[in-house]
Amino acid sequence: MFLKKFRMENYRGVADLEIELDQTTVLIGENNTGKTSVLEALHSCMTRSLGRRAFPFTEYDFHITSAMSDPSGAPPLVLTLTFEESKKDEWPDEIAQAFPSVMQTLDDDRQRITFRVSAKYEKTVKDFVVEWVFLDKDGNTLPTARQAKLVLDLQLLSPVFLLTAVRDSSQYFQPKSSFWAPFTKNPQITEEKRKEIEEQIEQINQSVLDSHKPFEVVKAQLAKTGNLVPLAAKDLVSVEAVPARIFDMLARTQVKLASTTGAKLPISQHGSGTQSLAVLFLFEAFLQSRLAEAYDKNSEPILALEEPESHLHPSAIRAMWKTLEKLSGQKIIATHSGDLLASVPIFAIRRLARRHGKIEVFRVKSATLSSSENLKVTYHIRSKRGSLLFARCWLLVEGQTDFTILPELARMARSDFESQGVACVEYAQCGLMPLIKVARDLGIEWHVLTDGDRAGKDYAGTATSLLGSDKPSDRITTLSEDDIEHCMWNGGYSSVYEGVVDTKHRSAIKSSKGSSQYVSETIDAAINSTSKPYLAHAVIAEIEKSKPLNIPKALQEVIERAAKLAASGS
Amino acid sequence: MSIDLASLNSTQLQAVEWQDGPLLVLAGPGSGKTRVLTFRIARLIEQSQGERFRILGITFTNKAAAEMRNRIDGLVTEGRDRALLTTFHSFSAEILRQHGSHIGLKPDFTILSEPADRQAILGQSIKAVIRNDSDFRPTPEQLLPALDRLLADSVSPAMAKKHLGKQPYADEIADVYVDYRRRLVEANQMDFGSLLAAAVELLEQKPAIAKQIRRTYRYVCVDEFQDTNAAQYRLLASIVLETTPNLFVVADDDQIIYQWTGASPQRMEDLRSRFAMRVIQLPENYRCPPEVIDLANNLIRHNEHRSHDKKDLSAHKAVKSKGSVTVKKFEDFEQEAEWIAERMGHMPVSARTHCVVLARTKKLLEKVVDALNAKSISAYIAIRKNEFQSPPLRWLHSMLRLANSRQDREQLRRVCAAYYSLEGLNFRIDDVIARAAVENGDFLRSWIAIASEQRAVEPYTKKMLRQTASTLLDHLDHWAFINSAFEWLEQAEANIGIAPEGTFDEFKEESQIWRALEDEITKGIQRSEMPLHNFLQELDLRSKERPVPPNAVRCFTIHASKGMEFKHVFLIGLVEDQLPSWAAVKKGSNSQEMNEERRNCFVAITRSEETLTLTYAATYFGYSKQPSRFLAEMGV
Repeated sequence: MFLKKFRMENYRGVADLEIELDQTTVLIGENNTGKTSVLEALHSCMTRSLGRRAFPFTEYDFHITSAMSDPSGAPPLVLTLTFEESKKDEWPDEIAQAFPSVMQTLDDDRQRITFRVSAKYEKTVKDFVVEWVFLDKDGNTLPTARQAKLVLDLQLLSPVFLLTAVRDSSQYFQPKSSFWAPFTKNPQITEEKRKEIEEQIEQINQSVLDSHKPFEVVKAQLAKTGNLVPLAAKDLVSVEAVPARIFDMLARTQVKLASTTGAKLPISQHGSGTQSLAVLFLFEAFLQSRLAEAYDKNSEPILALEEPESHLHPSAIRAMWKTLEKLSGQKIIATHSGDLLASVPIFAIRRLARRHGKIEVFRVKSATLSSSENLKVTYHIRSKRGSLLFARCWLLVEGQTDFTILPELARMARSDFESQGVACVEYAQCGLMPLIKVARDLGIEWHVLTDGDRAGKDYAGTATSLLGSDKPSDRITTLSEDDIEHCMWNGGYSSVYEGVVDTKHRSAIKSSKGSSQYVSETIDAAINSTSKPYLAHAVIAEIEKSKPLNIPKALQEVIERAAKLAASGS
Repeated sequence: MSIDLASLNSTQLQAVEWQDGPLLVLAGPGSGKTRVLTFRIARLIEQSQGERFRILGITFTNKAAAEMRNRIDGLVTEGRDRALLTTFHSFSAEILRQHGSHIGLKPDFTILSEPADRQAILGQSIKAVIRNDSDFRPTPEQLLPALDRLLADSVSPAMAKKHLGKQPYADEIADVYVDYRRRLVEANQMDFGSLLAAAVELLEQKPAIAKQIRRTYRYVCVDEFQDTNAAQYRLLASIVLETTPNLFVVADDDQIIYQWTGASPQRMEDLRSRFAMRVIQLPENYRCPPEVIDLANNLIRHNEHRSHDKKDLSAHKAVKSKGSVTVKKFEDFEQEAEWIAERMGHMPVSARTHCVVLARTKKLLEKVVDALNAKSISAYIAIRKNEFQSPPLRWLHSMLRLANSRQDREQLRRVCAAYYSLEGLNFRIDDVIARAAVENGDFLRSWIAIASEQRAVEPYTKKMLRQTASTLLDHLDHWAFINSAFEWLEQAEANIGIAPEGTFDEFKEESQIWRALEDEITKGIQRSEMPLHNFLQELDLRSKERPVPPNAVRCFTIHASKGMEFKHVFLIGLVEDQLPSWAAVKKGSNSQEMNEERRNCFVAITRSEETLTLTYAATYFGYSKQPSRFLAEMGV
C-alpha cells in the first residue's frame, strides 16, 4: 500500500507538518528541522508493540514548549498516515479484504485508508496513553470494531523498517534482528541430514575437547552442582566447542567479509562505511527472500533511512543510490549529502525549513518545471552541485566573475556565505526562470544580481515576472554599470585592469582616458590580455589590501541583502 | 475437515457442498435450512484458511443472526470472524457508517426507532413543503405510512414523483418525501427505511464502493429471502456480480408473509431469472407429524404464483401414533378462549412452555391471555419494543446517546425526565442548555455540572456523577460508564422511598434485556473495541421486548412465529375475516392477499412438532363468522 501522506502534530520539535510522499522521497533540511522525527514517528506508528497496546513513544516525543514544566502538559501528539491508491483498482483483493470496514472510496474511485495514532497524558490514569483510529475521507472517526486486528494487518502489509544513521552492523546481524533472524530460522535441512550433521559436530566437539584438556577441571568442579540441586543424573556437564544443535548453530551464524589482506573479519570489525553498506545489502536480501514469509505475500515495505551516506566515499554514495533505487517498496530517506541528491529526481526532494518559527515542508511541484527546464536544472544544479539544495538563500549571479568575486567579498565583509547558508548560483547557462521557480517551490530565499547591460535588464525583467507579492528591492539588484568589471572600475579598482593590458592588446584602446569608451576598451583589452578569472582574482587581491575595506556599494548591498534573506527563515 | 456432514441428507449435502455460482435453496418448513446455511458457511471458512475474504450471511432478524453466529462458532475455530452474520438493516448501517460521507452523513449518525421521533421530523417537512392554503393538510401520522411505502419500494427522492404517478396529491407527497429524506441526513439521523434506501442509493451512485464490498465478501448467503422487500433486494443485487454471483439464497415462496411490507412472489421469480439461479429443493420435513404435512400440502396447492416446479413437502418425522391433528368448533370466541385456557390448565406447568397459541391478529391473542390470566396461567405476547420504558434504563440509554451527540435536545429531555423520576430533582432543560453555552455547547457536561451542584443527594449518587464525568467527559469509556450506572441504579433501587413508587418496577427485567442485547451486539469481539456510536446504532436496530417468562404460554401472531417451532400449536380464530383476513376476503379468492393469507395458515400449521389444534367459533365479538375456507382446503 502506498503511503501518500504523513502528518505529524505536536511531535518533538514539530508543531504541525504534513509531508506528501512519493515512491522515493528524500528529506533535506538543516539540523533540527524534523527529518529524523519524520522517520522515527512513522516507525513508532507501525511498530508491532502498538498493536499489543504498548506505548510506542517516550515522553520526549511530546511537543514541549518552554512554558510547560513537563510532558504531561503537552498537547496530544497526533500522527496521521494516509495510504492511497495511486490509480483506481491498484490494490489487490487481499488488501480490500484486510480492511473492509475502513477502506474509503474517493470521488475518483481510488481507495484510501487513513490511520491516526495519538498519544496524550491522561489525568485519570496518571499516565500517557495511546490510541488509534481510522478516519473516513472527511476526517471523521470511523466507529470500527476490531481495530486491533486492523492495526496488526496494517503493520503486516505496510511494515516500516528504520535504518538509523548510527549503523552499528552488529545490531543488525544478530539473532533478534528483524532482517537477520528470518534467515536463520526454519532450517531447510532434512531430518536425516540434520542428524548426520549433528553427529559430525559431536565428533568435532569430542576431538576438540580430547586435545584441549583444561575444560576437564571445569567439568569436574561444575559437576558438584548436581550434589546441591537436583539435575540430570548422567552427562551433567558438557562443554561444546561448537553449538551441538543445528538451530543453535544457525542462530549464531556469523557473516564475515574478507578484508584487503584476505583476512575474514566479522562485519562489525570493518570500517563504518563497509558496515553501513553491509546492513543495506542485508536489508535488500531480506526484502528479496524473506519479507513475504516473515510478513505477508502482499507486504509492501516502507524503508525509512537516515543519512545513508554516512561514512561513505562520494562515489560509493552514488553507487549506493543505485541499490536503494532498486529496493522494492517505498523509501523515505533523510540526507545531508549533495552527492546523494545528485542522483535524486528533483521532484522527490522535500525540503524541511523553518518559516516564521514553524517548520514547513517544501517541494518542487511537478507543474513548476517544463521537461526542458527540468533537464537544465538536473544538469546545472542537481548533478553538478547537489549541495546547493541545502542553502537557505540563493544569490543568483550572471557569470563566472560574479561567482568568484561575491563569496570573497562576503568573507572580507565578515558575512561568510558558507556559514550563513548563502550559495552563489550562476544562471547564464541554465537560465534564470527555472532556478527562481525551483527556489520558490523549495522555500529557498533568492536574490538576483544582473548586469546593467541589455541582457542584464532582460534578466531583471524575467525575475520581476516571478516576484509575486515580493518587493523588487528584496529580490533584484541591477548594476548601474554594464557588468561587474565596470562596477569594479568605478569602485576604484581601474588600476587592476589598466595594469594588465599587454602590448599586443594595447593598440585596441583607441579612446582617450576619461571617456566611457576608454573604460570599456581597457576592460576588453585586459580580458584579452589575461582572462576573466585572472582579473577576478586580481581585483579580489586588491580589495583585500584596501584599508578601510572598500567594496563597491552595490555589491556591498547585495551581500547584506543575501545574508538578511538567509537569516529570515529561522 | 472437522465439520461432520454425516448427519445431512443427500440434498442438504448437495447444498452444503455448493461452491461457486448462484444457488437457490427452496427449503420447506422444517427442512433444516438453517443447518444447511451454517454448515455451508462453516465449510467455506474451513476450506479457505489463511485467506482474508469474508462471507456475508444476511438473515431476517438479529436473533436469527445471533443464532447462526452461535452455530458457526460451534463448527469452526479458526477464522470465525471471516463470517459476518447480519441483517439487511445492520449491514446498511455498517455501509453508511463507513461511506456515509459521500451523502453527507457522519459515522455517528443516530437511528430513529420511535415513530414519534420520525413524525416530529415529518411534521417539519409537511410544514415546510405544503402550502397553508392547500387542501392537502395531512398529519404526520397519516402521511408516515405513505413514506414507509416509498422507502420499502426503494424509491429514490428523485424518482418519487414518477413513482407515485397519478395517485392523489402525488406531487405534494413526493415533495414531502424529498424534504424528509434531506432533513434526516442534515440532522445526521436515519430511520429504518432510510438506512436501506440510503445504502442502496449510495451503492448505486458509487459502484466502486459496491465493488469493494464484493471484493471483501466473496460469498453472500441470504436466509428467508422470500420476505425481502424491493429495497433489500436492490441492496443485495448491488453487492453481488450479476454475471458470476456467489449468491446462495435460502427461501420458501410458500412462506412469504410480509407482502404487506413489500415482499412479493414475483421477486423470487426475478431472482431466479436475473441471476440464473440453480435450484436445489429441500422438501423433506423433519419437524411436523405426517398428518400436518398432508394438511399443509393440501392447503398450499390452492395457491397461485408458486414456484412452477415446487415439490410437495414429504414427511420424514418418525411419529408413534395418529391423532396429531385436532379440530374444535365453539359457539363463540369466549368459549374458544376459555377452552384454550382450560387445556393449558390441564397441562403440567413445564409442558406449557412447549405450547404456542397462534392467531392472525393480536386482538384475538389478548382475549386468550385474559382467559389464561384468569386461571392464573402466565402468558406472554411478543410485542416489538423500540425503546426502553423504565426510568432507570431510559436514563442510562439517553445518557449514552447524549454522550454520542452532545447537543441533542431530545436526549437531554429524556435524561432530565428520567433523572427526575429517579432522584426527584427537576432540572429545566433550558437552564441546562443555557449553561452549556459556556461549556462549548456540551449539554452533557452542563447537565453533569448542574447535577453535581445539588447538595441533597446521597453519597452514592455523588460518586456516580464523579464517575460519569470521568468516563463520559474526560475520556470516553462507555463500558465503564454503563457499569457504574448499573451500580448506582441498584443502590438507588435499594434505597426505597426516594423515587416514586413504580420507578423500578421494570428495572430488573429491562436490565436483563439490556445485558442480553449487550452480549448479542458484542459477540465475538472485545467490548473495548466496540465504539459508542456503533453500539448505540446496533441497540437502536434491536427490539427491547421482554424475554419469555419461565413457564409462560406463548401467544404469538403468525408473523411473530416465523422461523420457530413448538411441540404443540394451537391455531385459533380459523374463520373468514380473521384467517383469511377481512381485506383478503374482500379482494377475492384469487387475490394476492388471499394467497398471502393461505401462506400465513401454511406457516402457522407447520410450526408444530407433535400436535396441531385448529379452533374456530361461530361468532367473534358479536359477529357471526363462517369457518375459514382453509379448513376445507386442508381437508379437515
